[in-house]
Amino acid sequence: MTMHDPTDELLTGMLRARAGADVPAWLLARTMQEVAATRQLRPGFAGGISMPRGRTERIALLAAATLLLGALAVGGAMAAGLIDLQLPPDPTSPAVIVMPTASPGPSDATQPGLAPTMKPGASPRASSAPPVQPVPPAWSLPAGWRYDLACDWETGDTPGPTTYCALHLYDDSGREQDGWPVTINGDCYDGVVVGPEHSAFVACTRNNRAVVTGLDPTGKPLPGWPVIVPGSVANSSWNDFAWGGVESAAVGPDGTVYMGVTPPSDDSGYQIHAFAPDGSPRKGWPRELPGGAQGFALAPDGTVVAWWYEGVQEDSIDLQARRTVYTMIGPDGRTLPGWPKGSTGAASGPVVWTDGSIYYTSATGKVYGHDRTGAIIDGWPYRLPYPVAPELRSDGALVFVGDSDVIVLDRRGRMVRGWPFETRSTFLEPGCDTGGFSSRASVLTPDGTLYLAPWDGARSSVVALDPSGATVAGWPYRVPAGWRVVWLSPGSGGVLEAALTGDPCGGARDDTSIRLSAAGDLVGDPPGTPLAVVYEALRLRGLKTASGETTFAQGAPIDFEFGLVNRSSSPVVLPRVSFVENTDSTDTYYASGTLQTWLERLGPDTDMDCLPRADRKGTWYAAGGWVNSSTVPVTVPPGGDVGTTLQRSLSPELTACLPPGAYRYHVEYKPIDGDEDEVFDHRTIDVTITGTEPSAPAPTPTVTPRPSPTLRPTAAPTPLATAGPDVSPTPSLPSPAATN
Amino acid sequence: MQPAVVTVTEIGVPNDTTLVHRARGGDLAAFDAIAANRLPGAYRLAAAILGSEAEAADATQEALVAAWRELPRLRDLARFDAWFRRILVNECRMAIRRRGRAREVSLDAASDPWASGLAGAAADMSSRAAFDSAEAVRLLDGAFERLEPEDRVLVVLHHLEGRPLAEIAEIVHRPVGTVKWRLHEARAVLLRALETVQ
Repeated sequence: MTMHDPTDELLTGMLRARAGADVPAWLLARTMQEVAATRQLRPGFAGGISMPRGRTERIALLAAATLLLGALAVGGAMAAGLIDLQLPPDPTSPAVIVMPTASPGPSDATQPGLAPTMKPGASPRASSAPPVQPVPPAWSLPAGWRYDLACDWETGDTPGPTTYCALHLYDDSGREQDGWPVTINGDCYDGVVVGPEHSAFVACTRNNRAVVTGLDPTGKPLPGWPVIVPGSVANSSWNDFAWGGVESAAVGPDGTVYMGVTPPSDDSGYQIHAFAPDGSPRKGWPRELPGGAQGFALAPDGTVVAWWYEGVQEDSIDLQARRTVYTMIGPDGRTLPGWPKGSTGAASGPVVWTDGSIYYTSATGKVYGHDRTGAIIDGWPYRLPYPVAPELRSDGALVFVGDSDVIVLDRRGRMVRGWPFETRSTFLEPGCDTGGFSSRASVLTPDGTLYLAPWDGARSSVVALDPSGATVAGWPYRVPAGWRVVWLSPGSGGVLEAALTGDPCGGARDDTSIRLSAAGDLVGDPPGTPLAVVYEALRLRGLKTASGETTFAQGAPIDFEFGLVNRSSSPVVLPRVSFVENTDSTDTYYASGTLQTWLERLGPDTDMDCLPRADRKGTWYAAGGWVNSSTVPVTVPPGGDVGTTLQRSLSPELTACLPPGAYRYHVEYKPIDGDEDEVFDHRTIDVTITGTEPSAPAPTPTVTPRPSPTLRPTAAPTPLATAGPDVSPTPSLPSPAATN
Repeated sequence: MQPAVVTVTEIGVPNDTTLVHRARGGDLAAFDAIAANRLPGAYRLAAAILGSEAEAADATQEALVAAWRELPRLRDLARFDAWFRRILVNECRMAIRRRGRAREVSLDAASDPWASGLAGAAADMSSRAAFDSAEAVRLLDGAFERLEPEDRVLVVLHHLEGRPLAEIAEIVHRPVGTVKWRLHEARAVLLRALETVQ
């Protein structure tokens, strides 16, 4: 018998009572309302490492178009406030502190004009596809070298998380360079901008101050850096008529460093700061941007292209505004003649070509191009079927990926020869209850190849189109049945990565990814069978005791055996599933689902007082649950078993505390993350526990796993956990049902 | 002995990295799914720490909103749950600090749903000492309310959620030794509260 500490039982009972209240039905909806009204904090550097999904390529291209960078640009704003000089000395004490000053604002500008009207008769016109010549950045590290900013989240006594970052410099062999890493404390945007002579700039928010650190390649602070401004480093908003769409561009050919700060007193404020290479503030800066959802990018000559939205609806999921305003600001901080320009409604963010011209899509789907003087470029506007934000191809063509078609225009508003590409499938990424807003599963690579993931209602595929609109040889790739592409992203070595889900709306855990070569070939393992199909195929088989007996004495272990068999007519390949183990370590396993066991006392008295912590379902007491998984690939043919016979036990300590009588042991086959009522299959066996030794003692159960004839392990398996007793009177972990 | 290939892994919190990734990119639907999965557990954890439905709801909501806001800057998406738990317990600690330690707990089961819950917990212990047990639970609850916020978090994580000391240390960002010592001290405080009925 196990001795119980009554105090622990009381303590646990008290805590369970405190935690046992029903979750308010309104809480999720109200929370999501708050979430929808909250802007995400985003990395704020051009070339940032961690940009929103689906926008990485756009950012890269925008950077390529503007990136003759000899400076850093960050979105931001500044407001009045005193500066605390007591900053932690990392990596040096601050060299420049910018005191807030009154911002000149756009007072020297003309009033924003309304968007130009649609040109009558605008229609697709063909032009030849120009050769693709990617624009290289002016400032970069040697080939293969990279800066890497690694941040860990921690919490201290101050509200909210704080980031502690280490900036690394690796050479082309992956070796850390002398003098690195350099520790930079604060909430750092995880982008590193390379400046002249391989220098690095990182912006962080620390103690309500925006700090830009400049480092030389030896890890030493650049003279005059860091610079500090009250407030926090701001992001640039970039509307793409879909979820997210936030990015920031950096640039500046003369070594000028641009930084944006959200002032501490105005969450919607936005100012752009400019600093000389020695860290001193540039004359004429900062410039304040009015409105909300502001952002900026830099043209290659250092001109700041800024935008903001007037009349932003704060309670809208997508960006809704009364008007969008674009402007250009010269190196002296003054607005260029001819600017700003306005567009009714919430137009897209602009893309900037190397000649300083900008292109954007209005809220109604008209695409405009403006030259540096603000004049509309001849040939524009072009009416799209619906609003789609432009992507700038490295040859200057503008790519618009719609729901089921792709339009490519040259910078005169003419359709590039070979386009449009049309399909009856949809490029929309799978989503549920998104109110009609969703990103498209596509990615545009620097060489001009456009990858798309059309979904025909039953099957996903991935297609590659060259700049002329032709399908690249070897494509499309047909995604295995049951899987749907969630998003595409460029991987290393020219490999395309496609994230897949088997259940877009159910949040299933079988999200996985595949990698495809430039020739459209699968690289690595296929994705396996979606969990939804696995759940349909697998069923429980043959629940019994290991000994064959059904009567056991108190204090004797009871071992159960059962199987999980493929009842379908097709092989099942267990998919890779990621989940966190109790140790909080995360890994991916080949999983088939959850097996949950319960113990039910039969008869009028169904209580089992010695299981105070066991979760319950009616009169059933949770007796252990686990994810059935393997570390090696598993294929289950029709009629075959998933692995070996499965075994679970009731421990001697448990049976010793159970009152004599009849019991029913339940085994349920469930989804990995389902609730207690979601059960695919259910088996039971009745056993009797006697108060005294039975006349014919049950033989000691022998736990002998049986080799499965259905497995095809190619490598030695790695056990994940010991299959111990299912439940004890004082279980150390809650059952699965108790975790939610 | 172990099965040849198919092994058993005790259930932890499923890690829906893809959903987190999508939410990180601004996908509200993905975050809705994440929130729906975490909200019940988060609410109960907050309720155990705070002892108030309204404050538990507030802390849960604040934690989820903070997670949404900060998510783009979370580098290791696979550690979302540990990170979110950290935010949540921090919200709870702040909630306790905001209200101070003067909160009174009603023992009137008819008017206080939490007192009803406590009475129910005691009633579950069907023994001849039910009355004493009920009284003991109430005393424990009162003593628990007087604990430091950090100690409440430790007690809940350890005694309710059954988390090992190393994991708790990671959540509260304290050394394991400190966690162990503070848990010991907190438990001693709670034990002293029971001396009147034992």
